[in-house]
Amino acid sequence: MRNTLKVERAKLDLTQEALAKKIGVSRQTINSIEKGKYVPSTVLALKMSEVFNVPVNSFFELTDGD
Amino acid sequence: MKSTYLFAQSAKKWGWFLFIPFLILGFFCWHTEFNFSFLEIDGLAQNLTDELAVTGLILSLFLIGFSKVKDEDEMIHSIRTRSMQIGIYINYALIILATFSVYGFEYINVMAYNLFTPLLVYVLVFHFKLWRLKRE
Repeated sequence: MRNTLKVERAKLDLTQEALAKKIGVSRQTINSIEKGKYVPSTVLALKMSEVFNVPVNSFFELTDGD
Repeated sequence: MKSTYLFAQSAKKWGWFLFIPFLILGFFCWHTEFNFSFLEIDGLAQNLTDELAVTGLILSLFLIGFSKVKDEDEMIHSIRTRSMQIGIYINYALIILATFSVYGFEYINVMAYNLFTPLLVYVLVFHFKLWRLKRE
């Protein structure tokens, strides 16, 4: 899975820490998601979508092998 | 997040606090047959020191391994589950190894240690993973 979380964060001028606080996870979790090391649950993805105000599949994308 | 069946964050330090003395007690109990005389119960053929050591060790390992960490979120939950899986793999690999290298009555030592190794290996793997995550 690929994601453009960093871009979405930049658009809203949010740090990893700030986004983490908004959706109730740790900064490390946001960092791991951005690096592609951790795939979040649907609940978390929807919470992000709410913060960014765009649909989930605009910042998460399936890659070959998914 | 839904219920995680974990102890409060503060329970972990109690776990460590109890683990060390119970580990020492367990070790001496098993290898030198050390007994507390006050645990000699009338009418019972056994001294209860080893029962105390086993229970204390298991409970303290539970407190260490299953207390919430500072930011207990879904990623920590997934690291916890993975650590448990790796813990079981390592534990059984060690048992197979011991089965081929320890024979006779000595094997009872393997079984005694094996009362605690699944929890112990899980605790070690989980904390190693947390440490690595923090360093990133």
